[in-house]
Amino acid sequence: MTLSDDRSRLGSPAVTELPEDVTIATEEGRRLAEQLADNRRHARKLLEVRNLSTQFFTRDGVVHAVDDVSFEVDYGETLGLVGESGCGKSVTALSLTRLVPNPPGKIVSGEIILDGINLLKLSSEEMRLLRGKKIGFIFQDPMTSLNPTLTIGYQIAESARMHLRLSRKDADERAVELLSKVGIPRSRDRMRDYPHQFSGGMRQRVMIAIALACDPMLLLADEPTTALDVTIQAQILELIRSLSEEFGTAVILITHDLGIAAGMCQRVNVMYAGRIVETGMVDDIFETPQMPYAWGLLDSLPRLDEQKGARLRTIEGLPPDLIDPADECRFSPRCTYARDVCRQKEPQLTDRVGERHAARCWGTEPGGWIQ
Amino acid sequence: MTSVANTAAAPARDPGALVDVQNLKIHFPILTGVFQTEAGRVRAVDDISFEIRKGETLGLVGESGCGKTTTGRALIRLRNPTAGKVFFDGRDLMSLSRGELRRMRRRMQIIFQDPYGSLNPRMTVGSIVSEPLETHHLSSGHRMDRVRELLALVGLNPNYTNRYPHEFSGGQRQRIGIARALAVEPEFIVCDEPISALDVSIQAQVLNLLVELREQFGLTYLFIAHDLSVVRHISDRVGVMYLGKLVELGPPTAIYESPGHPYTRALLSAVPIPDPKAERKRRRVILTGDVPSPVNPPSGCRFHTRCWLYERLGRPENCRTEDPPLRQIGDDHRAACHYAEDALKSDVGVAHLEDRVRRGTPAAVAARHEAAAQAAVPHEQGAGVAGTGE
Ligand SMILES: Nc1ncnc2c1ncn2[C@@H]1O[C@H](COP(=O)(O)OP(=O)(O)OP(=O)(O)O)[C@@H](O)[C@H]1O
Ligand SMILES: Nc1ncnc2c1ncn2[C@@H]1O[C@H](COP(=O)(O)OP(=O)(O)OP(=O)(O)O)[C@@H](O)[C@H]1O
Ligand code: SF4
Ligand code: SF4
Ligand SMILES: [Mg+2]
Ligand SMILES: [Mg+2]
Repeated sequence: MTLSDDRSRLGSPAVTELPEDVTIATEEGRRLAEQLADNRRHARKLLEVRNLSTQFFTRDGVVHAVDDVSFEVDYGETLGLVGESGCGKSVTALSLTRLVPNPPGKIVSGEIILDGINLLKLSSEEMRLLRGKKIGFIFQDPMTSLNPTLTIGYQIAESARMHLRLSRKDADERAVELLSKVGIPRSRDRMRDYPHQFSGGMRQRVMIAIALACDPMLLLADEPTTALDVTIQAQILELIRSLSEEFGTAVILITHDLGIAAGMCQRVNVMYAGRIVETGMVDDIFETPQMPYAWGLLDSLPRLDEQKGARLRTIEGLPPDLIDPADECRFSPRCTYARDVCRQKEPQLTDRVGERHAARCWGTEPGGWIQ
Repeated sequence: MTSVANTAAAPARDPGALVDVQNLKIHFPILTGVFQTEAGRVRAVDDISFEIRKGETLGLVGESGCGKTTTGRALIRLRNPTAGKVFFDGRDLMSLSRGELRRMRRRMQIIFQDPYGSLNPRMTVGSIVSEPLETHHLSSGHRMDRVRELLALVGLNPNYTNRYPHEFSGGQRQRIGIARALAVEPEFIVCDEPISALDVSIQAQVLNLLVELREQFGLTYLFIAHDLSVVRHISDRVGVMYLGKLVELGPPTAIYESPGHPYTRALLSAVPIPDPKAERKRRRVILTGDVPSPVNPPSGCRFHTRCWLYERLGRPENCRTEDPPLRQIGDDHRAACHYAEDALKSDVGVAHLEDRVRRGTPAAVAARHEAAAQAAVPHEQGAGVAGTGE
C-alpha cells in the first residue's frame, strides 16, 4: 500500500522532478507519475472548462442553469465557487462529473478537459470508470450519498477495489488506513458499523475517505459542511486542507459562506445567475472586488469583530429567473450603479488589474464610471 | 410536570427583567417497549438561569441540539418545564389561569426558523396575518386594514393579502412570519433562527427589519442563532449554551473579545471570517470529537471531554467531578468554568481581533459608504433603551 504515499509526493504541485527515494508500487502509479511530470512540463492545467452550458428543459421553459462558463483549475489548487442559492454552483459540479439528471437536464455545449482528457467525448462507461478514480466528490448531505444498508468499511473498500483493482484484503486495509486518516478513532472496529451509527460529522469524514480512496486528482466538494456545526465544520475543513496538501489533490470547493472561501481557497469564482461574474486570487476578490454584486455580498455580512451594528447594507430584490435571460447585465435590476448600457448589452468577463483577475461589469472596465 | 400550583407570583430577582428564568430544566423521556417505560431522558435543558431585560436583545448561541429552541419555547410557555420557573413581567407563567395565560400570550410571540414550513400553504397571506388578531379579538371591523398596515410595515406590498405563501420568496415568507408575530403588538419576541434559511443578501434585509422594528416598538428579543457574527450584530447581551447548559453570559464585548469559557473561545476560533488575510493569521483550536449525547452527559463539567483548557491544565480532577456553576467573572459577565480566570488570560479564539482588514468595497466606494453611515447615525440612537416606542 504505497500508492497513496507515492501520489502524495507526485501530486504535490511544488515537485517537478521525482525524488529518488520514491518507489513506485504499481504500473498505474508509474504511468500517473509520467503523465503528471509531462503535464507540468507543458504547464497544463488539471482542469479546463470551456464555454460550458447546461440547461434544464422544463414546462415553463429552458432554464439556463450554467451559461457559457469557462474556468481552469491548476494542479493542487483549491478553487472556490461562491454565490447565492440557485446561481448554478451544484449544476456546474454535476456537469463536471456528467451527472446532470437527464431529462430534464443536458450539457448543451462546451468542453471539459481533465488532465488532458475531454470528458464530454467519453462513452458513459469510460466516464463511469474515470469518475471516482480521477474525481472524488463530497456532497452536502452525506446521509443521502451513503448506502444505509452497507457497512462503512465495505463502502470505502469497494471504491478502492473497483478503481485500483486491489484484492479484497488490500482494499480492506486501505479502508482502515483511510478511516484513521480522516480522523475516525478505532477505525478497524468501526469498519463494521452502518452509516446510522455515525454522527453527521463522522459520516462526512467517511464521504471524504471514499472520495479519497482512489487518490483522485480533483476533489469536488459541494457545500461539504453546510449541514454541520461550526466546531465540526472546522474539523472537516482542516481535514480537507491537510489532505489536499498531503496528496497534492486539487479541490473545487463550493460554498455560500464567504468566510470559508476566504480561509480555504487560493482563487475564487463568483457566480451569479448561471454566469461567472468575477474571478481572481482570493485576496483580490475580498479586497478589491470589481463587480457591484461581489462587494454587495461582502458588505451585507455582519462581522465577528465589529461592534453592535449600524444598518447592514443590503442587495435589494432577488436574483432573476434563469429562463431565457435577456442580453443585459444579469445583475442590472439590483445594481445601484446600473446605467443604460448595462440594460442594453451584457458585459463580458474581461481582465482587471490583479493577477488572473477578471470581472463582468461595464462600470469597472477601464474608463468605466465606477473607479 | 413539577409545576405546583404556586399562585403567589414570586417577584423576579432583577427588577429590570422582563423575562426571568430560574433553574429551568426540560427533560424529554425516552419511552420504549409496549408499555412505554422510560428508558432514559434527554436532558435538553438542564438547570439554567438567566434574565432578559426590558428592551434588550439577548442573543443565544450554541451548536445543534444544545437546547436553544427548547429554551426559547419554554420562555413563552409553548413547552412546560420539568423543573424551575419562568417569570414574565414578574408573573410565574406556570401559575396563570387559562384566561390569564391567553392574555399573557398576546404579549409574547415567536418567529420560526423555517420560512417554508411555518406558514400554512392553504391560507392566504391575509388570513395568516389576521389569524392572531381573531384569536385575541383584536381590530374587529377593520382587520384587513390592519393586515395591510402590517404588511407595509415589514416591507411587503399591502395588496398581496390574497396571495399564497408559495408565491413568495424565502425572505418574503420570513417577513410574513414577522408580520404575523407583530399583529398582536407583543412586547417580547422569540426569534428562533429567523434568518438561517435565507441567502446572504436576503439575511441582511431581514436583520435590518428586525432592528428597525425593535427600535420602533421598543421590543425585547430572544434572538436564537448559530451564526456568531449575526448575533453580535443584533444583541445587547449574548448567552452561550453547550449541551443543555448556559456556559457564558455577558455583553458582546466580553463574549467576543475576552470570553471566560473555553467553549466560547473554541466556537469563536472555529468561525470562518470573510477576510483572507485575517484567516491566514489565525491560529485555531480545533475541538476534537463530537458533541456528547444529552442523554448521558459527561460528569462534572460537560465540556471536559473536548476542553482544550482542561488538557492544558493537565486534566484537573474537579473538571471531571464538579459541575461548574455560572458565576460572576467580570462586569455583567458570567461563565461556568472552574478555570475561567485562566481562560480569560489566553488569546485563544480572539486572535482575529488583531487584524481588521477593510473588507470588500474599493476605497472610493468605502468612503461613500462611510458618508452614508454617518448620515444614518440618528437611526442608531435609542437602540436597546427600555421603553422607547411604546
Ligand atoms: N432538476 C432540475 N430541473 C430544473 N431546474 C433545475 C434542476 N436542477 C437545478 N435546476 C435549476 O438550475 C439552477 C441552478 O441550480 P443549482 O442547484 O446549481 O444552484 P446552486 O448554486 O447549487 O444553489 P444552492 O446554493 O441552493 O445549492 C437553479 O435555477 C435551479 O432551479
Ligand atoms: N420533543 C422532543 N422530544 C425528545 N427530544 C427532544 C424534543 N425536542 C428536542 N429534543 C432534544 O432536545 C435537545 C435540544 O433540542 P433543541 O431543539 O432545543 O436544540 P437546538 O439548540 O435548538 O438545536 P438546533 O440548533 O439544531 O435547532 C436535542 O437533543 C433534541 O434532540
Ligand atoms: S454592468 Fe452595470 S449593472 Fe452590471 S454590475 Fe456593472 S454597473 Fe452594475
Ligand atoms: S471547568 Fe474545566 S473542563 Fe470545564 S470548561 Fe473549565 S477548564 Fe474546561
Ligand atoms: Mg447547490
Ligand atoms: Mg433550534
